[in-house]
Amino acid sequence: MRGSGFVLVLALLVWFGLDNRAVAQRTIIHEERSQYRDVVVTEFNNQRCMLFNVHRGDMNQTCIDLRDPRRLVFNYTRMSFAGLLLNPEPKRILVAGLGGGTIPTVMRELFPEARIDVLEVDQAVVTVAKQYFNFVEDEQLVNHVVDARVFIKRAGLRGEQYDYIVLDAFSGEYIPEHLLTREFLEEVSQILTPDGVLVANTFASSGLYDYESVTYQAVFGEFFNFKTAGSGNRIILAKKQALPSAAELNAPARQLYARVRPYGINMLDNPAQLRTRPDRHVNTRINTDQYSPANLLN
Amino acid sequence: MKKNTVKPDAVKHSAYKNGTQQAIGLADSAMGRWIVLAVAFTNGFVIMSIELLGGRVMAPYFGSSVYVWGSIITVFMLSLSLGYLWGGRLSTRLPEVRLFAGFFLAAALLCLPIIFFAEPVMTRIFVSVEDPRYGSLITAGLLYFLPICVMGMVSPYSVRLLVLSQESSGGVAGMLYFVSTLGSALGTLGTSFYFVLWFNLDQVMWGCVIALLCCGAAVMWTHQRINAVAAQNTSKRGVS
Repeated sequence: MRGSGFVLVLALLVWFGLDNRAVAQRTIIHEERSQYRDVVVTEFNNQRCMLFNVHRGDMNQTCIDLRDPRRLVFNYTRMSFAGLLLNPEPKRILVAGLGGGTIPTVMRELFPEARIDVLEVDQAVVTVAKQYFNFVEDEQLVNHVVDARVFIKRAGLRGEQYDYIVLDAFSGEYIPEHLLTREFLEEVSQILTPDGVLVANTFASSGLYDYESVTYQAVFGEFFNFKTAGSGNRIILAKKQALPSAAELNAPARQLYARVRPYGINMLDNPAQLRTRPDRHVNTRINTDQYSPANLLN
Repeated sequence: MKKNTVKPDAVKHSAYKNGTQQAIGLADSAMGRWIVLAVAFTNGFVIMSIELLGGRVMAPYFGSSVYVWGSIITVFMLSLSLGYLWGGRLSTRLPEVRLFAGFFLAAALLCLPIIFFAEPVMTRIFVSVEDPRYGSLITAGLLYFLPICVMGMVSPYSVRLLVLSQESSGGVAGMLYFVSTLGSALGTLGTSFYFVLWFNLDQVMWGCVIALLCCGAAVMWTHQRINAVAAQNTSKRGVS
């Protein structure tokens, strides 16, 4: 009995030891208490990352390259700028989901005249983004600590319009189900200018894929699907107006190329990668406020 | 709960005037006892099912932040606590099986506004209250206070219907807590794991309404059966 107890204790020690080692590879430089889940900042290999659930081996929410802070570390972040092909000069920008503030910060640099609203439900994320990820608010770039659905519904009631909307609130473990419904997308559509573009960062491979596709299709009609090999994300690019052909996007791609190059974005590659052909089961059920079991489908 | 008042109070009640306890009890027939336990289980199930759906009902207007859940849980706890208090008082003053069945009918009817008026109510509150914390708290109060309060009244009232003696009161109460909380556990699990995957929100709400109506009907039906059997027995005894 005593022997087996000893073995058990030893096994536990080894297990915890390994666990700690896995975490210790990355130095935790800050932990911010949150109403939702604690936000952890780690540094490893000259990359500083924001994580939500370090103990369960959560993926990095956002990272910056400490040697070259302008370079965008994540593929999906770079991909999201393909929205500029559909609207190369946005003036009113809305970004739902702050993370480290990468997307709004780049937009602020690219379009100094544009007015940018950022929505983040968790104050802790805002605090960490400011302290560790160079996120700076000013008169043109304002963060709102609010649920995206609430802000967008209110913006619709006030008759506000945006010509560039980024939905980037889905990268966590828990999916906000009320941000995946037809009614929500209709509210988004309501605040989108006629020539505006919606950029949604979603999942490339999960049980949710078809549901998401048919829901976007129901509200916006045909949309661009943007996937790249090796990325677990797909970007949906939608407009209220008819989409241009992929060939028509080559001109804006050339025009934008030099401006976005310092961020590691190769805009010239993007037009050929955008697809409108449905790659989904079209008879899947649309997600609505009445039916949105996103976390169960995922 | 003043357990030592159960006996004298029961004696005072008209149903006991003929010296038997069958009329209000449901307790002296096995079927009656089972029915009370079954409806207490269903009641617990429905309460948690509605609570979980509450988060989804309110998310389109107030988000799914921690405040919204805070509001919902606060309102449910408050409704239940007052329901327990008033249900307990009613059970000493007015122990009637018909009233017990009436709770279920009332709860079912009070759930209907959640199906039919949630949207206009939330739109009004959304427009007039900027802060989603208080918006969600007011909404939860308006939509859920009355039905959940009535459902809370079921618990102490069913204790009253089943308790026959002071000695058994703790055991009866324990059994009722057991089944109703077990119902709550399964209602939570079933709703969050499966029902939202299989059905629309309103369909689950209708399921709750129908379940409550069935509870009321089952209680009334059992009550009448027991009375009929008792009347038969009495008349037989009268003949012999």
